[in-house]
Amino acid sequence: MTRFFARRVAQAMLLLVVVSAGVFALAALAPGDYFAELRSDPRVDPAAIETLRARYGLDRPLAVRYGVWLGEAVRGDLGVSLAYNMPVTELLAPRAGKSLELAATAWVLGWILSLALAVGAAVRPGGWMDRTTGWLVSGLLVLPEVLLAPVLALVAARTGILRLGGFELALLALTPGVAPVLLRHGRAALKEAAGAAYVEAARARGIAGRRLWLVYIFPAAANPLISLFGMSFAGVLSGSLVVEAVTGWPGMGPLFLDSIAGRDFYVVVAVTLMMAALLAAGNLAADAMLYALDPRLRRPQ
Amino acid sequence: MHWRAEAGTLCAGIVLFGMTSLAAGLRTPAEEVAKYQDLHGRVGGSLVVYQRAEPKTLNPLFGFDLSSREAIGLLQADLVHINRKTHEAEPALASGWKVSGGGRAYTLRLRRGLHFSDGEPFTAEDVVFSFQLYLDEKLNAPQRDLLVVGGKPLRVEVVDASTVRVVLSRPYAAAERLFDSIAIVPRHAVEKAYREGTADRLWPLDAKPGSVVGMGPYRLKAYTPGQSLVLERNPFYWKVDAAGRRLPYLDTIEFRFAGSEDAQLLHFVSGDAGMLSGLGARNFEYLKQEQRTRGAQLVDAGPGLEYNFLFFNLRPGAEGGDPGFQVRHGRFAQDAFRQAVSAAIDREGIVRLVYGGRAAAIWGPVTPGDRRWWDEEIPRPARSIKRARQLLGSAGFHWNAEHELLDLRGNRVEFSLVTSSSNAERRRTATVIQNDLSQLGMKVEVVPLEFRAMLDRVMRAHRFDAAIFGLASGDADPNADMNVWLSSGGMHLWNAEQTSPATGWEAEIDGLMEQQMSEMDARRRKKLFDRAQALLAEHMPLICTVSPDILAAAKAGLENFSPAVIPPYTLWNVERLYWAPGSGGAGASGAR
Repeated sequence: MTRFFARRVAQAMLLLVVVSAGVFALAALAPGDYFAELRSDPRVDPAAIETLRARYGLDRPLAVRYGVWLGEAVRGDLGVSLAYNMPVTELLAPRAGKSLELAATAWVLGWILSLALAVGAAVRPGGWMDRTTGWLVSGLLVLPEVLLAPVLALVAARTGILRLGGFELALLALTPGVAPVLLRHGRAALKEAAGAAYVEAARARGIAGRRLWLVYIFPAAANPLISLFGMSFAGVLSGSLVVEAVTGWPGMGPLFLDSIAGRDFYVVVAVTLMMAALLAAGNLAADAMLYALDPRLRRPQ
Repeated sequence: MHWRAEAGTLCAGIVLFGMTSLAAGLRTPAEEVAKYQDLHGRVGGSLVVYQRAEPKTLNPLFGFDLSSREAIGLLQADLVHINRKTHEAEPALASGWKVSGGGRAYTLRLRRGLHFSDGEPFTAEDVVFSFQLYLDEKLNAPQRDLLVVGGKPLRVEVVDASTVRVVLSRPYAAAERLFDSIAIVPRHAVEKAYREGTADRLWPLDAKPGSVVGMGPYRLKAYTPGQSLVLERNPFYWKVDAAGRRLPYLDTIEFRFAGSEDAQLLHFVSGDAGMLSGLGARNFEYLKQEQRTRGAQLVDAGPGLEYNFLFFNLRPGAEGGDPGFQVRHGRFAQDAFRQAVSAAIDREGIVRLVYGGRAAAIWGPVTPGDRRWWDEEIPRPARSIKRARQLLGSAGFHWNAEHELLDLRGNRVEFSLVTSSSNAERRRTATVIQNDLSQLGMKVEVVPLEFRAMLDRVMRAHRFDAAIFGLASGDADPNADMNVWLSSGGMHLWNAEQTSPATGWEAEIDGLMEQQMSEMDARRRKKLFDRAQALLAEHMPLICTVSPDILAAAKAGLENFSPAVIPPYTLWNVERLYWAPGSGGAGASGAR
């Protein structure tokens, strides 16, 4: 067990290093930097801009910058925001809290709704519930958050039903994007498990209702859902960044987009790394649950 | 014993009170406030302003971006301030100034008895200290370049407790305008950080409210990350209205952050925002039609100081000596080619199609909004394809059977036109120009690039044929744009940082601009600058197209709302703004 988890943790750490190097290189190679905008101000001398670039180390080779950053990141210092002139961790902390609040609520809500509808569909395959959820999944899958969010914002502004920048509006814009993937996988997994031969055998032996679902169907359908469970949170959080920027929820989204446009280098790297870390943590948690639930994983290789 | 002790304490108290009062009377002269005789407003209420982006800092030395500058402008004050309506320099913390030494020395008399927002007195030492910060090479504040005249930094010295003298290395016309937006920072609050080498990290957004000190109409009340920045009235502000009531009228200004112009608009439509600035023409028209904002004040202040233009890369050897570019460069360098391009561009069409009529066609970088420096004599020929063809023909260009334009060697005339992808108006302008020039047989490929990528390509790498750009100075005076006009300037976009002027007319412009910079007679100065404008209009290194109008909106009932063409467009007179009785303005219920 220790080896299993040690290997998983090592893989996660390696993933973070690779992601950080990749993002660092991409962000650094993008043309223009934070101080480029000053070049459009006729009153600012270009020599002053070069001095500012040098002060923040933007004139140093990429490998050197990455090496310095990695050394400090290991100690928990993710660099300084060029725009805000303050540590990235201090800048992100309050906004990350808001993003997590929104994403976690949408995630939990998405899972509850999806599982409830998936069970409804699996109880009677081909029934009205099954058909409705099928249409719902298709409809929601083709509805991108980036379209839904501005439409909802416009409705909110014109009707006053929901407050622009409020939690409810952001949640309403985010949750429909979360639910269809979960619903699609949940519905497929539960329908497959409910139709399996051993479930039929159990039914033939007179087992039905809650016992049939809890003992026979759910455990069989759990594996793909647990894998999805691990990955889904990071997905919801990345979706929330776009929704936040459109609806005005004060999470990391507006800052992240602003930082990309403004080339606030270390903020972009930190937010991306945070996403990767959440993905890795989610997968690790899923691995732990699968390990606990699936005896095949506990067998010696 | 007990009684004697009490009597002793009382006597000591009286003596102490007397001495304190006397000392205070000696130390603190009567407050020399600025009085608005025409102002009869109403105290109270609040104003919610949605900014496109969150301010980044409250540090006046390092607030580069528009949002930060807007917030800092309310927290800080300057010695001399340019009135955004009249464009004239007016007394601010300095109650007056005297020019001597043939324009080399400015003696500024400071208002006496004023206090910073934390109650500490304002002195001449604060002024000297502030300039020390701005001019410190180690700190390298972006404003430093403004304060270096003739290659030497200004020298600021204390004459007496309420007088400072600013000495320049050479005469400098309208040097008092240099002091606009140079915030006077409190020595007592900043010096420690400066000595410790941390002045650049001073006053981040999450600074404690009491620690951000200034002499502006407001002071920091609260900041919620990503959400809002709330400013409250500075009880020590040094301006009063006709009745002697201390300004500003509005109790609080709350900046909230929208993220985009469209989001700003939605907040205004929903009634959250009390004021909207920097509106595009399309959104301005939308507001005019929108039922929910009926009754709101929609103001078109006319063309601002922003000038949009097309320019060619005239830098020899750019594009790493690429032979293809050398051929194109040969064409760009011909005056007749650029004049033909200018003649073919339908400026009025751009005004109509791109800006919905809310812009002015321009033929030079000085816009009609810059009333004092606008030159009526600059030729403004109507669009003429015929004249463009004549100019090209006279320079040896010709057309093949397919009506394609060819140069002397028979090469097709084609070039790429770089523009910012994030600026919808400039993108559309590029398309109009592409179409206009196709009528001359030119093949133009429009290349939209992300704004910073474009700046990098044009201004650092110099890898481009032609670009569409826009510049807006923070002041209406030509000295603010010296970097654009001088051939040695970093913003001399078509061929920057020349060691010696590449052409005769650039040498002449250099001479004229240097002369006008030192000319103390306003009329002679205008003549010199008019000649520089005429040269630019003749040789067309910048083919100016349009100057967009400044568009803004405010809720009904916000009195004294009067957008200007110099930034900050709407909050420049924030101390005069107030809610009319019974108005539905944000927070107006709190008015008293």
